[in-house]
Amino acid sequence: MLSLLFLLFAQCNKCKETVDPPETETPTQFVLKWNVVFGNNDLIQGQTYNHIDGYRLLLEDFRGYIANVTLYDEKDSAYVIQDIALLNWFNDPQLTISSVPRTVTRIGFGLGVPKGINTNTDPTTYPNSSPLSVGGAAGMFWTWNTGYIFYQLNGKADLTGSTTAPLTDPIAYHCGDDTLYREIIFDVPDVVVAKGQTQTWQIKLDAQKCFWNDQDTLHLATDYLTHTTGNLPLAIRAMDLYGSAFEWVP
Amino acid sequence: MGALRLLWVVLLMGIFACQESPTSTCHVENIRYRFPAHFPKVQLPKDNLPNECRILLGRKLFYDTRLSQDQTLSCGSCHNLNMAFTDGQKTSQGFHQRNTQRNAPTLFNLAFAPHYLSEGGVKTLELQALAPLLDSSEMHGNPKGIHPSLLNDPEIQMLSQAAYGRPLDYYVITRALACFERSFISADSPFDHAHYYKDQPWDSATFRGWQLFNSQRLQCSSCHVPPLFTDHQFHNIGLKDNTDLGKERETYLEKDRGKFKTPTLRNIELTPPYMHDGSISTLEDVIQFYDEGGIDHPINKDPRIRPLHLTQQEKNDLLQFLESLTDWNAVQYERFLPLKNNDEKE
Repeated sequence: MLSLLFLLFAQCNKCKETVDPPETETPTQFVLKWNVVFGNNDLIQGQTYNHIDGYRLLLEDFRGYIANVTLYDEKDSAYVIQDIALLNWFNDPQLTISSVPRTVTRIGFGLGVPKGINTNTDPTTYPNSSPLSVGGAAGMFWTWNTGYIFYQLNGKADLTGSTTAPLTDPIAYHCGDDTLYREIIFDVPDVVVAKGQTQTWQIKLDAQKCFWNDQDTLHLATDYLTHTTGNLPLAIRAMDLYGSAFEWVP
Repeated sequence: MGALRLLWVVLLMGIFACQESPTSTCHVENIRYRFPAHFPKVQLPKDNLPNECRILLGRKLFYDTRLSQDQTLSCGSCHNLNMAFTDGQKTSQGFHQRNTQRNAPTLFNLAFAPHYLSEGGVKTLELQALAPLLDSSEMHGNPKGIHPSLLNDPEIQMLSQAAYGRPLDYYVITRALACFERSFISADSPFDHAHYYKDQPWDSATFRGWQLFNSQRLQCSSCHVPPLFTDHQFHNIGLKDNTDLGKERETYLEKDRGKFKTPTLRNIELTPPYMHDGSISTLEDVIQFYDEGGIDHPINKDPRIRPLHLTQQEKNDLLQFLESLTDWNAVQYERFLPLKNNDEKE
């Protein structure tokens, strides 16, 4: 037994000697940084904001999957540089992605989990580091069905119209289904990103637009709850509003 | 890394070598489930073929309360063997006495199901386990991490390595539970012996009930198809409460509203109350419900559910037949119960 252990330790030391030295070259990096606001204010977890209908509301949980982050070059060739990420929109959300140098004219990403991965997946087969794993998804997976919650917004409102009453009326938009996948593409000023360079883009996410925009308004007295199933029409509206909340920051 | 993993296994083996533990005696060679010849053929998942270690780990986890957030609930809390793996409640009580949405189903013969849960949205028995494990009204397990007392249990970790070659995680838990649950076979009822094995005589009332069950007039067997006594399909049978969306929850189609998967009738005598919501208390009341033809739901009530005009004799015969589906051996098998040397912990 002891000799076996000795052999194993000896084996490990041998491994150490043959490890390649780490690469010191600075990688080319693309950074997508989201600036999350509620109208003209920064979005802060647990802070109260005003709905257009006059109700006070606060947001407690605001997360979403970002998929297929894609860079388009001057010939409009598309390069997917990241497959999937789960972002907590309260948590200084950004993606830093190493890739090869290229010219970029447009950037795009999906909101949700792409079809194929979404419905034919077993989250227990992903490594813990993956946002699609049981731990990585952290509740963004339908356990009663197969598939992921693409976007989740939970909070509370006060529907009495009072300015002081506690906020006790729940709001929950849990949207996830193949039909709810949305794609966003922004034209960006052409940029040649050279080897070793870091290119950062800013994208605004206005949480206010998750509740209302020029086309639609979620009236909290009636439009306050969807788990997609049971209220697919509301999930579609909520997902469309969420999609409209992303804005390019020049 | 490979050398370190080997070291870990060697050290654990050393620790356990001197102890009398079930782990030290389980084997990793594939074994066969005892599926009866008159049951359908099953394609087992290639990554979860049964062996002793996998079934043993599943058995230990099935009765381990450390899988629930407050360490008070195990799978066995709502799936008691003596009630054919149900709990006698209308709907089960989960984490912090929260009511679950549906009546606890029997777990017998799950190996033969093509989909799981009442609306059939989950396609594998492995994935099914995630629903009770993580649901906040059931065991409310933490998706981000398994309880440290379970993760640090050397015997569980040893079994996990032996069974699946990796440390305990949700992959191992879901597979081990499914591996154990596929062994829950029930095919040893008086009905099986009279009809399939033909080594016992029919009781006359039971036989009359069986004929009625299959008759064009009643058509019970068109949904409760033998030998599993389910067609694995979804039907709206006209229950009073039609607020649960059922299959519509998965398909978003109004035509699927209030449709639920046909439950097996095997061991039905042991699994009151009945229906997905536990709204009918006794088997006699279930027969009465079908005799009256349920309540009309304009969208999609199954046309086979209509007044039957049964006589009292016919009701008695049907009841006798349903009771002949009880497998009194299966509900007492030692191999489905918690391990005896763990009784104190469990």
